[in-house]
Amino acid sequence: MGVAEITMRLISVIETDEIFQNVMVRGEVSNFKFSGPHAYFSLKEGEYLLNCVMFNATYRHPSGIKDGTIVKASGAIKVYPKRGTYQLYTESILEGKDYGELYKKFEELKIKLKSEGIFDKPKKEIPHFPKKIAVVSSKTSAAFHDVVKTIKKRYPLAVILLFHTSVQGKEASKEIVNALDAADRSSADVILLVRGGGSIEDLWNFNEEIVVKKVYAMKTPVITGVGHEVDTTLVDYVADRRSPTPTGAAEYATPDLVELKRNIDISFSRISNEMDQKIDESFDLVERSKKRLDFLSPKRQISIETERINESFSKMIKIVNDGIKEKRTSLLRNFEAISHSKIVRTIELVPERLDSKMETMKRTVSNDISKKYLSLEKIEVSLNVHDPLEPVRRGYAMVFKDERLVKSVHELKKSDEIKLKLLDGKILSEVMEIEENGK
Amino acid sequence: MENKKVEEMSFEESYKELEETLNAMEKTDVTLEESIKLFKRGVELYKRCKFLIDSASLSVKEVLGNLEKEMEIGEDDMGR
Repeated sequence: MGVAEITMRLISVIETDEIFQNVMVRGEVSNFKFSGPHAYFSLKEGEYLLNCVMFNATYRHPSGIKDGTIVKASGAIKVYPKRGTYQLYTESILEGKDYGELYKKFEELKIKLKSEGIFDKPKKEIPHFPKKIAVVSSKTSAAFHDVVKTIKKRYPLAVILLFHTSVQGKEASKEIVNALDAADRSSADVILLVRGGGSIEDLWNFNEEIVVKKVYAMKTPVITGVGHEVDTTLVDYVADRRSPTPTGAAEYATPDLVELKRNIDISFSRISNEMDQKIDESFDLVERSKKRLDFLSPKRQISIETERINESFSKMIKIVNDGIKEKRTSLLRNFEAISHSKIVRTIELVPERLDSKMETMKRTVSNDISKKYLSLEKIEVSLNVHDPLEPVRRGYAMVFKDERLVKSVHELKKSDEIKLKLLDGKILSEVMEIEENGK
Repeated sequence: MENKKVEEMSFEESYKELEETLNAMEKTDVTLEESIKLFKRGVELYKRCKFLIDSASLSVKEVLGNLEKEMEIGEDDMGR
């Protein structure tokens, strides 16, 4: 955006504003001078300054205007593009009173009170949620109505206590002090000292020492809202909070209900969220515990064991099956081998061989028996020849002594008992005499 | 403070306790039982705040000596 464009924008804003185009401005004249027929001067109010120009002033301006005069100048505010300034193009000037003395008094009082340390008073805290708000003002003033309107909008929970007082005129200072005193003794949580705008003379009561010192001595917090933005009074220096306007004072004294409502709703949703979260957390904890419980339960152990056993069993079955299969295969293999081996043939020949052996054996044994039989016959003949009973059968007797066969006479002596055995019986005898052959 | 009946509490009291309740709930070491207790209390306080806001109608009284006289402030009087 160029300089021209920004200037044009400013012009279009300022020169379409109804107030700027038809305004009466109050202020103290300074730097008043003529240039040709035109007058150039400034209007001052405290630290603020407005440049003014009045064309053909020679014929239009009141004669008594000089620096320090309080005047009311009417006209239109316009931008002067070549200098980048704005000024009041003055059409008429109403001469005001000479407030020079009051300003001087104001400054002197300010210095005096300052030196007394009145302005160093520590500020009291303004309550956030006032139950009762005292308003020290005139009940017919716009200031009081602005306060009521603002509080009604912002914080209707409060109760407003009006301490009526006149706010202008010589007697007003005492009234203000009394009203402040009554307000301080009431149950109000905060006091608003308010008045609408006016000249320094109009607002003078708020510069009076007794009023300033009363505000200084108050126990209840005081918020001032005296005049308009540019007006400063001495009570503003001792108030616990100063506001440029009555409306501003009411705003300082109250929380904004719209904001409060929003805060409350936010708090509530946060509380609800916290609760939800807590429940979720607790639910999770329980779930986790349940899972752990399930994990550690004997049921699960049993199922694990069962599974393990089943698995082992399956393995076993498989091993056995595999074994059987293997053995069967091997057997089949062996069987095939056996079927085709010589052994089989050998075995097949065995009965045949046995038969032949049997025949041989039969023959051998038979021969043998025959031989033995012959031999036995010979033995019998021989035995018969050598039978001891043979001589007995032929009539001979056998002599026995003590059951022994006696073969010699030497075996006997006289009187020995002897037994004579014959074929058909025995004879018991006694040796009578022994005769040896040849003797 | 927890023992005070909610319906007897001022806006300031209920609003402050609502904030405190919230702060208490936001602490990590709160048990579920405590949370439920705080939550119930919070809901009551919330309702109380809402009720006070919704039912509020500004009362303007003129104090004359020891007397307090209710003032009628119409909407028309509100303008400058």
